[in-house]
Amino acid sequence: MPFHRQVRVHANECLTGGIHKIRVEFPELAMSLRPGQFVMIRPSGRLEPLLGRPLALYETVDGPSGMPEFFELVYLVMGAGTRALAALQPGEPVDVWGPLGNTFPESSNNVDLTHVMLIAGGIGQTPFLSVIKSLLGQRRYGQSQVSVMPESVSLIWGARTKDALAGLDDFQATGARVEVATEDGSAGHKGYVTELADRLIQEGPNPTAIFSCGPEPMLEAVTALAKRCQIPAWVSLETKMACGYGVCFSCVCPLQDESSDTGWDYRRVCIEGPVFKAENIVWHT
Amino acid sequence: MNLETRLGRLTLPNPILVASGTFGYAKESTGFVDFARLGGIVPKTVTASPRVGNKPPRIVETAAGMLNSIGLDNDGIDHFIEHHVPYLATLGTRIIANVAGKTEAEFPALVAKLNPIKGIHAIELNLSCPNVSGGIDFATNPEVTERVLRQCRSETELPLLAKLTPNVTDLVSIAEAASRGGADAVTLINTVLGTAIDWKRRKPILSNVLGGLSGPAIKPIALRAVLTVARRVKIPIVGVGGVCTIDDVMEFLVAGASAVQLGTVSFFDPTASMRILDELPQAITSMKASSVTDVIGSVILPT
Ligand SMILES: Cc1cc2nc3c(=O)[nH]c(=O)nc-3n(C[C@H](O)[C@H](O)[C@H](O)COP(=O)(O)O)c2cc1C
Repeated sequence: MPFHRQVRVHANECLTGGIHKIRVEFPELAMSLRPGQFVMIRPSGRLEPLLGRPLALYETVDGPSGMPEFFELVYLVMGAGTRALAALQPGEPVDVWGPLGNTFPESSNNVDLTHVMLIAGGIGQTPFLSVIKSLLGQRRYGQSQVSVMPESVSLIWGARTKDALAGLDDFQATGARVEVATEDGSAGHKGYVTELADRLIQEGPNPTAIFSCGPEPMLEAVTALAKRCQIPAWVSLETKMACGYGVCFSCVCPLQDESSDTGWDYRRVCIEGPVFKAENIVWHT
Repeated sequence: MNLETRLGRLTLPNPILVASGTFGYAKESTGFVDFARLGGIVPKTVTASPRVGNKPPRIVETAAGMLNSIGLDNDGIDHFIEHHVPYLATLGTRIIANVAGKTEAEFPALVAKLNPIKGIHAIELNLSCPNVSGGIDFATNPEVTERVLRQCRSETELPLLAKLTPNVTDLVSIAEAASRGGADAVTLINTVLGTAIDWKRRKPILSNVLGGLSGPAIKPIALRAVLTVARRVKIPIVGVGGVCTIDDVMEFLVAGASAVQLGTVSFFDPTASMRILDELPQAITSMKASSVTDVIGSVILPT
């Protein structure tokens, strides 16, 4: 069951490179959010910006009770919506609704999660902190009992420049393998994240599953890489949304559909995704 | 407190409806909305055949509003009857199916298909979607409007609502035509045609170039449509366009609407309908009225 409430900003800070982290107090939601899911958030009581913005769960934070009472979202300031969020002070009200969307595969029932490779591009690292902690059994999210314990989890993160790798130490602190690429060579591999991922796959251990999040051209390249290496892959899409819960039909993405004449049909990313099996996405219609 | 209101042969327990295309097929709002409290639900428009809809981007945010060009993305009337109506019929509220024809003849055919279906309480004819390729707005011409209504009327005894576009010179003549054709009520208004441009790339932002403006930005246009039509046309009016708060609801009722529909507000305030229903009795009382019907059309105009 989703929640919708006016709640308060607890903290809101700039990390680096126009990337901010907001912490919101909302115990019911903090207790039910799962890695890969997202919330819609907007400053309360204004008509501009009108629409909420979809942001992935970054991390939940326990309160004095020892239970999750806060959640954090990390966002890049890009337009009017995120600019308005960045200007919020602690104590100010925000409207929040969620939990929204599905998750990456969480159980080893149908998916081999022995070696999981996470590939992030730009601000696409945000869902992966909780994904890593959940996979490694370091933190519990929502009601689900995740008990997979992969042998290895690695995060391959590419960005334009070093400054865009905000919160890198959060990821390093999990003990997961973290490798970075920057287009300008200011940190890690100089070039695209998919080149680095390709090399690391060749070096082994061979990933049994790839999860990816980032800009669409990168996700398309990851899909091609996974196909070539015959590794099952899931991607989380970042599309424009108005409502986040399935009523507006604006965040659609073409997915394979046998029953349609064209072989594909538009699906709502907010309720059927944001995570899709990579091979089911039709990148060019 | 009597919140009941009438739209011709359709009686609603209260005047708060949710608008077509902004509430999906209701299921999506589970947990946000107690459906049984609503005056009624207008599900997303259905067409005779499935429509894939327009290519994204389908929306763009604007000043206190948004433009959309969804393009009537839907799986067709047969799918609607088979998959959505059985669920909608369990919600304990009035279901006002909304249909759009590609041709004049498709409207009565769609109505005939819905007529025998259990769980449909009324039909709203979307005569005015700006996003359908070809751009045929049936409700830009009084003769066509009247003819479509007449043909639909002969197919059903169910209440018929004619949803009209504001993108015309003389809305009153179209509303009169709908009334003559046998509409129980007119729904005013659909979205206002507009566009948005990315000047740096010299490109329209919507893939469809044009879209429909909705949200608080269009409330004065919708209110004017209700006020003007209410004074000239006898059948009841359902007001829609920028309704977000109890004050907006009261403004539309006073201007002459017998019910309102909440549209874009559901996108950024998913529980708005519940809050408005909580606040409605108090707002009526504050006018020293004891029923919704006392308030409808009670506007005092300068003489
Ligand atoms: C994204 C979106 C999709 C819509 N789809 C439909 C539709 O399928 N059929 C219809 O009759 N009206 C549709 N409308 C119009 C609304 O029902 C309503 O008439 C209009 O948005 C004005 O009300 P508002 O300002 O409260 O949104 C749509 C509006 C929006 C914003």
